[in-house]
This record gives sequence, structure tokens and C-alpha cells, in this order.
Amino acid sequence: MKPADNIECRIEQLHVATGAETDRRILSDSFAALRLGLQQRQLGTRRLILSSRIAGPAAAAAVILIAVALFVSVPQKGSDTVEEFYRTLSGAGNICVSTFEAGQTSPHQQVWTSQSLKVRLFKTGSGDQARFALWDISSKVQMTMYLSEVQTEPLTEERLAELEKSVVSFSGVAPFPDAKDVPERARWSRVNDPAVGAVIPGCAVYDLDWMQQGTVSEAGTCRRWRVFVDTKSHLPRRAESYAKSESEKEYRIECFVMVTYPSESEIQDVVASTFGPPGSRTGGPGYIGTPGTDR
Amino acid sequence: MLDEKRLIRELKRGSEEALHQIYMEYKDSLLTIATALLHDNNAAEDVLHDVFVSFAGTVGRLRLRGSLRSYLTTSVVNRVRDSYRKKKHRMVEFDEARQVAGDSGDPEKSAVFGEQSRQLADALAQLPPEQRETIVLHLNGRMKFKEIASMQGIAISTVQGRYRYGLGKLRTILKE
Repeated sequence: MKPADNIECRIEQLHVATGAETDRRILSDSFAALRLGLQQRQLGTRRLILSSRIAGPAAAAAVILIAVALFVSVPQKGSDTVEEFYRTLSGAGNICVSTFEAGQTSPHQQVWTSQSLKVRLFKTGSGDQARFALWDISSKVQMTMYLSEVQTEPLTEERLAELEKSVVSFSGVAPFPDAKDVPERARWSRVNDPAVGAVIPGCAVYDLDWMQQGTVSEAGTCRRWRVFVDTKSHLPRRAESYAKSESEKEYRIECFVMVTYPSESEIQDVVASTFGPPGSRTGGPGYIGTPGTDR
Repeated sequence: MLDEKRLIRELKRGSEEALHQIYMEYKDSLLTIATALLHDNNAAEDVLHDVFVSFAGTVGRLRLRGSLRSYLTTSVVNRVRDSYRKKKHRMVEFDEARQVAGDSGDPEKSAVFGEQSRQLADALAQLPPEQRETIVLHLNGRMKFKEIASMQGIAISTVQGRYRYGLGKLRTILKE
């Protein structure tokens, strides 16, 4: 066999064994270290508490801890906790959420929301069969469009108040409308698998795992929501919904969303291209006609 | 197959028998890795000694995240890197022309391997440390590329690259 043949096998076969004297020396020293380490550990805590030398530093540490606690209680931008994630997300003024079924490349629904414009536009389906719906809180109207036919309905004050609240929540992104709705036993954890992180570069990946209880006769469903959070803006760019039964080992993906953050004018343009400019979106009773044209 | 969790639990209670079992299970594998990386049996034995003494002394505080094998292998690699650094420092001091990785061809150091493996060990010693480390950890330490990448804090593709280039270089050296 040539020296260069089967090089990997040959490296695997390299073997060096310790001698008896080496074993005795290492084991003897290791046993001594084990005894010493455990003794120090038992004594360490008591000494630390009783030693007067640390009284001052301990007091300082307590002050620092309180300061840190106060600092942490101030709202922070980030995603280390599920609360931080929701807090950061609520600060996104304009957002577009595209929802895809697993394995699909075209979204089955897109939702544009602008907190400042107070509008939310829904698009379901694609091409000629696409359906649009618009909540325009500023113009106090709800509009729909299907097969080029537009219908406009004025919104009552009660309905307006409901919609105004809903425009600030981004339930299309996260599985729960608010952090306080997340089940107590849900677990928020950072995913450190580089292969997962490589799906969208520049993102930190987090999993939210929880058990969705079934009815009395049904077993629960294990749910996982995986979110890819931009490391700079701390805003989500992609989120995937998974599920599995308790007996299954692997989660299966159900759907995923892609999230973008368009500018106010971009959302205005998208809405105007479907329903016309803001001035034309008035609450005429049951308006039917061509969108975007003067009425 | 060791029941690592049980052994660690017993070790934390001071069981010398548990420490003995762990040592007997991993000593040769760790010594092989250290020797292949350092190309110096005496230095490799010192590394093995330091790793086990340190492990035994701090086991009370140990919070094992992965396998014990992986933990001990990482400890060996860290000690080997320290050894590289010290050696490099001495070389700079004495203005020696040889590189850290270029300690090959010392018959005394190579004698620990059988005659058939001597050429291979000498060739390994001529590789840059990071390529040698990757090859040895993958083939002798049975670590996956993913684990090596995580340990070295680099991308998995870089690990694969180092492995591929390292093997290529070994083939070239051995053909000469």
C-alpha cells in the first residue's frame, strides 16, 4: 500500500496508549484534586458569607444588582425574551406580512398595515382571482374588491374603535396577539444550529414552544413557532409554524410568513393602486365602480 | 458505553471509582489526539495529566452541556493550543527559524507511533495547526464538522475546507 492511500483510515487507526506509570501518576493526582475540590466547594460558601472582607463588596454587589434590575425593567429593544420581541415588534409602524403554505413559493395572503396611516390592506389569492379588503380608519370606510368590482361600506363608530385597536397588533406575524397571551408554560429559546441560522443570514433564530391542549377526548398538539429576527433592527423577517402530536418525534412545518417593513408612501401606493387615492375613499353607501377613478 | 450522567453525579459526590472509570474510558483516545497534535509524547502526557487533574478539581462546578467525550476533547485541544503559544513564545525568544508546525522529523518524538504510522505522524506535524486540529478531531476525536465548527467558533464550511486542504497536503507530503 502506498503511503498516501487510505489516508483517512490510517489516521483513524493511529493509537497511543498510556503506560502503567503514567496512569498511576495521573490518577493519583486526579484523586487528590477531586478531594481538594470538593472540600473547597463545601467550605467555600460558608467562608464567602462569613468573611468580613467581602462585606463591602457584597453591599456594592447588591447595589449593582438592584441597578441592573432597574435597568432591565426599563423597556429594552431586543429579542432575548418573548416580551422584548413583542415590544420591539409593536414599534414597527409599517409592516407587510406574506403568508405561504408549506412548500409554496407564492403567498396565499398578504397583509399591509400602517399604524400612522391607520390602514390595513388584505390580499388573498393571486392574479385575476385575487380578493382585496381594506380597512381605512381615517376615511371611516371598509372596502372590498373582487373581479374588478369595488364595494364600499361606511364604518360605524363602534366598528372603527375595534379596528383601530386591531391595527396596532400584528397577529399575522406572531401566534399570539400580545405577550400576555403567550401560555405560561411556553418556552422561548435561542436556536444555535448554524444550519438553521443560514436560512436567512444576519438573523438570530428563536423558537417558541408550547402545548396546545385539545378537548377532553383529544390529545394535545405540540406547537413550535420559529422566528428569524434581524440582528440589527431586532424585527422579525421570517416566521415558521410547526406542529406535531405528542407521540411524533419530528415537527412538521404548516406555514411560514415573510415580513417586510415598507415605508408609509409604499403602503400608500399599494392601497392607491387597488382602491384609489385617499381622497376618493369616502363612505358612499354601497359604492360599486372602478377603483382609482374620480367619482 | 458509559452512563455519563450517572458517573458525573457520583463524581460530584467524590467517587474515585467514577473518576477511574472515566479515565480508563477516554485516556488513550485523548492521548492519541494530544500526541497527533503536538507530535511530542511527553508533552501529550502532560496535557492528559493537566486535563484530568483540572477536570477532577472542578467537577463540582461542572455543568455539562454536551457529551463528556466532547468536553474532555475540547479541554485537550485548549491545553494543546496553550502549549503551541508557549512554544511559539520560546521560539521568538530564541529567534529560532523553525515554525511551531514544523517540528517534524524528530525520531525520538515519533517513536511513540509504530513504524508504519511514523511517516503519517511526521506528515501530520507538517500541516498548519488549524488543519491538523480539524483532521485529528474529526478522525481521532470522532467529532462532526458541526461540533468542530462550534468549538472553534468558525463556519462549518471553513472546517470542511481546512479538512479537505489538510488531507490534500498530507497526500502530497506522503507522495514525495
